[in-house]
Amino acid sequence: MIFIFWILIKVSDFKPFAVFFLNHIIFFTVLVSLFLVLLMIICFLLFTNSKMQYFEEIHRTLEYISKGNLDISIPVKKSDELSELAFTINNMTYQLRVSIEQGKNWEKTKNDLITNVSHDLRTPLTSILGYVELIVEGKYEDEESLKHYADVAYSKCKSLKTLVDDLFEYSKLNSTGMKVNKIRISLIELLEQVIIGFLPYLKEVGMEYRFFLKNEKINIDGDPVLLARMFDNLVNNAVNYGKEGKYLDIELQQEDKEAIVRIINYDNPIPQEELPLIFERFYKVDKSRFKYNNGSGIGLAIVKSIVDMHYGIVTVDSKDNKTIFEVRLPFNGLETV
Amino acid sequence: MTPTEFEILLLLAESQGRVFSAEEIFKRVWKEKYFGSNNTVMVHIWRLREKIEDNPKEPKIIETVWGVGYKIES
Repeated sequence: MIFIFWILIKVSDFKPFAVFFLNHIIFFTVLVSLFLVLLMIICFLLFTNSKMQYFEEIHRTLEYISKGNLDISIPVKKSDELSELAFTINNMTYQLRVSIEQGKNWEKTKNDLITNVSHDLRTPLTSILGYVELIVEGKYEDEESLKHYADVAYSKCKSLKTLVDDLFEYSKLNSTGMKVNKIRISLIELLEQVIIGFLPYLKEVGMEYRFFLKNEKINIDGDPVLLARMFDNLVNNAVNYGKEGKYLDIELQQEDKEAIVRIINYDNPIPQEELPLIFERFYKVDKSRFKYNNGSGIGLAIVKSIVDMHYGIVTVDSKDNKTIFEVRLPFNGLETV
Repeated sequence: MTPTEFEILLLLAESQGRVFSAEEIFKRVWKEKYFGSNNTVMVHIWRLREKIEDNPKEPKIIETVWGVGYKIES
């Protein structure tokens, strides 16, 4: 400033400054304006420089991310718009990372499923082929062994069909377009209807079923066909594993907002370490120990899918020679918070 | 076929298409009070099916209406 005035005084050629100033008022006005503008620009640059640098940093990181490096995140510095932007971007990369991870997991599950299915399909198929070949080529000693071969092939065919049916059911349940047709039904009636199908089998293996009702009527909203299938699988599981235990117990009770069904069998407890895995597809508890097991290994995975579709919970507990499958279903069939 | 089984069949056949709950069947055939669940109806339904169905495990005549009851479709 002093420098400018000094120049002005020089330029004014020692005339009284006031006269010179008055004569050149427009010049002075322009000069001061220019000075102010310059000052503003400097201030603006100083002020925005840090922002520009941060912006550059965001830009660089974004470029890096766009090349597929999702592990990086932008530091969130202050609480202004740019920091908000950085926060949102970090969030987005996190979500991307999660969904990519999920995709990989799905891929792995799918591959495992295919491997397991191929194995489970091939085993009975090989044995069917073997026996049928013996029959076709006439390599049997007498009528009795012929009948035996045919019987084995037939029973393997049946287990193959069970497996294919279950697999079909399972993939249908897990496809996204699956519709749940909910209506109001009586849970007791449904369970009785499921049990009817097992009556001859229970008689055959000498088991007795017992109903324990805490409430006389329990009505819930659910898909009757799916729920019937679910209970059918659980009862099937219980009679398969518990046929030496004499009793098949079914307990029903009502709590605040849910119905609780417990299906209990005795004998052949499931080892504790296997309990968490039991609802995974193709999980069969130690095959060698259960010679009667004719399940496909998908039955309990189907149970879980159906219970999930009704926003319920299915758990299993096995101790003191007692295995309890517990299903909790909300009455209205809606998600409970 | 026992008289009771016949009565159940008659009840369902006379109102074709109508669904009867186990409770209703029990009250109309046995004419007694029903408490929550009763395995008598279940056993009779099964025996009836054994006698009249081709495959009692997949009944075509006495149909199951899941969670509601039983019916004979017209």
